[in-house]
Amino acid sequence: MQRQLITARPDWQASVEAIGFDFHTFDAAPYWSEESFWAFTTAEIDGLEKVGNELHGMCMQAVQQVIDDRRLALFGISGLAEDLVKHSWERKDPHLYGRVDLAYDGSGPPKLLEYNADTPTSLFEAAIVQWYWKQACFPQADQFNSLEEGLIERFRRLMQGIPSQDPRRHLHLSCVMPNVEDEGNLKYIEACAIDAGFTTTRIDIADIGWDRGREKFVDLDEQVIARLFKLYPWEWMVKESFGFNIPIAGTQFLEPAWKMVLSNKAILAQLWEMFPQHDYLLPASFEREKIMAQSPLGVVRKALLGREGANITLYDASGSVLESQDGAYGAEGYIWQARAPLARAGARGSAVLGVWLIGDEARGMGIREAEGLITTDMCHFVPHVFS
Amino acid sequence: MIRTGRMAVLVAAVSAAALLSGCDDKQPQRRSQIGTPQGQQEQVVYRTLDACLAQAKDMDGVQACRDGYAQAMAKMAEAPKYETQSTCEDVYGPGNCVPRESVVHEGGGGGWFVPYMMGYMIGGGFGHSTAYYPVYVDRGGTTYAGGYGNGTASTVVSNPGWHGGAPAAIRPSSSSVVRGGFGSTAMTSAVHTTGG
Repeated sequence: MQRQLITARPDWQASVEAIGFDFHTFDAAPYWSEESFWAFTTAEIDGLEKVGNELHGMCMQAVQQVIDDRRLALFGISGLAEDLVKHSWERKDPHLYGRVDLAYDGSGPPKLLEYNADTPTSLFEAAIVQWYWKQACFPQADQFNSLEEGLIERFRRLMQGIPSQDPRRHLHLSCVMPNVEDEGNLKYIEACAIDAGFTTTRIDIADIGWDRGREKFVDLDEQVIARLFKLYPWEWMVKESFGFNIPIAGTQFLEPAWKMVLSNKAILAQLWEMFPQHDYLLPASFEREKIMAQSPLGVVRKALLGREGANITLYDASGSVLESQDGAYGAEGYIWQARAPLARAGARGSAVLGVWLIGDEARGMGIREAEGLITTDMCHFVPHVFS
Repeated sequence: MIRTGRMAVLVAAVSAAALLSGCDDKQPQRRSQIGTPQGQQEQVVYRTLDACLAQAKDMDGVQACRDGYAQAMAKMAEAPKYETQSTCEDVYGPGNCVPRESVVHEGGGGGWFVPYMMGYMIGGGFGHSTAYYPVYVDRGGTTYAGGYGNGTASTVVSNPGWHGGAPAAIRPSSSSVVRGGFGSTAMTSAVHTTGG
């Protein structure tokens, strides 16, 4: 794999806006960046696909194990959240998508940094924007990207066996509004659902209603919400005042509640315990001392429920702080993970590879570059090709 | 295993239909307009004969209530008819349909089901300011006045003012839905996206 510099298309803003990408720039800094791209070999992409599939499979085993061993408390999952996790897992509630973030520079095997299993974003960029960039700039090259086909297939499966007048053929999609980035992801998922035959309604998460008479969640037209795609964290929903209505409402959620186990960074310690020394895992534990000896580059402390790089601290081998991001998380606890070498992006920067799972299959990849070592909400999305 | 495909098809649809148009429809359509359209006068609907009598100011008023009730009941002969109870209830909700012969006494043609008369009103939106009409409510809460002409006509009562209590199908929109139970964490935290 190689990072290559390139001149951005002179009309790149207009080009990406023409395909509906209206959040390419934040606070005057480009989020979408086509001044560089990553070129992979076919063998490397085959490997990344395999890694994504295998890690996801291991994660599914880990969910079962965490429930069987009554370890949800270690994840800070108790009470209502615990009930929702267990019941949704027992019912085999279907899931739609997720993104495993990998440390990989082309030398050793890719290593799992975390699993964004509940509310992953940058899907539209990975599925559509980088595809159009590739078609414009490198039409002969290929790209690890069958995300759209995967999403539509997945939605078709969610449609199977549901009678024609059933309210489950209507998908509600919700996030915090207004929010141009989250709504961009939401609208893309909506378009895929429509392609698969769903009718849809978008609704601000704060506009969702609870009908006390019918004991159902309802939209602004007071239509029952039978299926809800929510780009909103489960751990927030269960704490909010409608949380206790979830078990009686009968709404089917995407992602399902059991994804709370995978989006929680405690899963990293669980995986290391179940699959010690696995090629694709980094040593991880609730206790720093337990991984020190296996962490020649130092360790990283991550808040269990942190998002977008918040509340992450990197230490070098001597224990000095290399880099740190503060944030609103951490009260729920921390996990320690061995520090992995990241692909270098420029003088100081680094790149993280996000392999997308649609259902249980790795179907694409998006790469984000950060100025330093922690990938935050200030990162850049950078396209890739392979040949 | 790879990876290309027929994206162009959907992207056209995405950008045109969902993404671009989505930008300007931010104002949610807060419907629930039943009972609250601007500039539309409330139309009095009596739930029962007693509800009407309770408002009668004199003997003429009492007589008008009785006559009106009888007129409305007579127009039940022109109520929408359904072959089975369940097809009728699909429209008007469980328990809200009755055998036609129980409200229409004209002999013959039995076996039909009609919606239960949920109330009655003068005018009914047909422009007959002195005639009374039966009122039906479908399961979604929409109110109709019906029974004029050959049995098929009915009008939507856009702003019914119920005297004697609104039927159950209407109550959810006015009283039983609460909102704002999700989203509070995002309000109080400084994240720019809830994604990751």
